Amino acid sequence: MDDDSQPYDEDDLLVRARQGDLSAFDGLITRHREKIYMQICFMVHNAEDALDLTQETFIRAWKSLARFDGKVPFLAWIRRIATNASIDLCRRRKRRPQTELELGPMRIDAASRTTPSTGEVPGSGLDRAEIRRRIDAALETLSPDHRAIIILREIEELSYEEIALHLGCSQGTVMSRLFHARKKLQTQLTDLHEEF
Amino acid sequence: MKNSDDLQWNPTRQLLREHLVVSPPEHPDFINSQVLAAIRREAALASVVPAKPTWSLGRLLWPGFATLAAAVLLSVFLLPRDFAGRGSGAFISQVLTAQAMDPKTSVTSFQVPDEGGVVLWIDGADYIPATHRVQ
Repeated sequence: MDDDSQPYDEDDLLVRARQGDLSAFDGLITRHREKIYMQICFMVHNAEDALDLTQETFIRAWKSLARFDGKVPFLAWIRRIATNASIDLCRRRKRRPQTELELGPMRIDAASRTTPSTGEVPGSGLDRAEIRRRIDAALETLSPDHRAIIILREIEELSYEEIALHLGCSQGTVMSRLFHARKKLQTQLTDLHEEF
Repeated sequence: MKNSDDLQWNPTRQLLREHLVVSPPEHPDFINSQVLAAIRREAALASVVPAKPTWSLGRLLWPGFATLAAAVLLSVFLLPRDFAGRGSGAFISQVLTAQAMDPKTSVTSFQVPDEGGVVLWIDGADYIPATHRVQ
């Protein structure tokens, strides 16, 4: 959701932000906040935690801005901070079992690929909320690293190279983790997509 | 092999993409305001020279010495210092009042500095009961 209609380009904002200009950093937050928030939301499954972690991500980014060397795009750099923060949180709380969906009421995102509804899925005995619960439960069983890979690849649709940059590992590691994460998820959701 | 994996994975991918949807934040500007406020707060804290705690040892040292010195001076100059020079007689020879219940009897007391004592002069008493004797 980068907003290219904004008056300053990202490089300009970055240069000014690195000089300590808070209004420029404000511009950077505005550009990337939704992507970061949604990525974290997928990882932590809790809207409130996602909001807190989004703020923490940008605060960490501000503190580390002097170390940002521009070798990767700013969004990739900040995504890495967000992913690390999410993985840290998941490890810290060891994910208490969630019986209720904590993402709050679904709202249609103009940029989403699909339009969620809460009704019953045609041709299946399950409603969307139940399917979503099953998917969330399956994701819960993945390790934070595997969950991050699945989210980045399957939901955010990043390339292997981008994911590797993002997670600070090799493409081979990304592919290997993705393979194992997919296998595990597939096993758990087989009955669901067969019914679906 | 890879294609077969992809084929097997496709339905799950479809499922994820269709159902794993989250809403964007309802008040995105809240994120900006919170982040900027936190940054300003931390910058303000960093710019302030850390003050010494009010009750630090250094701060208590001089008032402590001053109080101790005042206490020593008071004890040296204001409290009586001749206890050691007095014998036990100095305390028992102090007579505050000297009077008799019997109108025929009169009692007078006077100090005798040379003897370091007080004389009770009793006129008109036939005898002094044992309980009233000066020990």
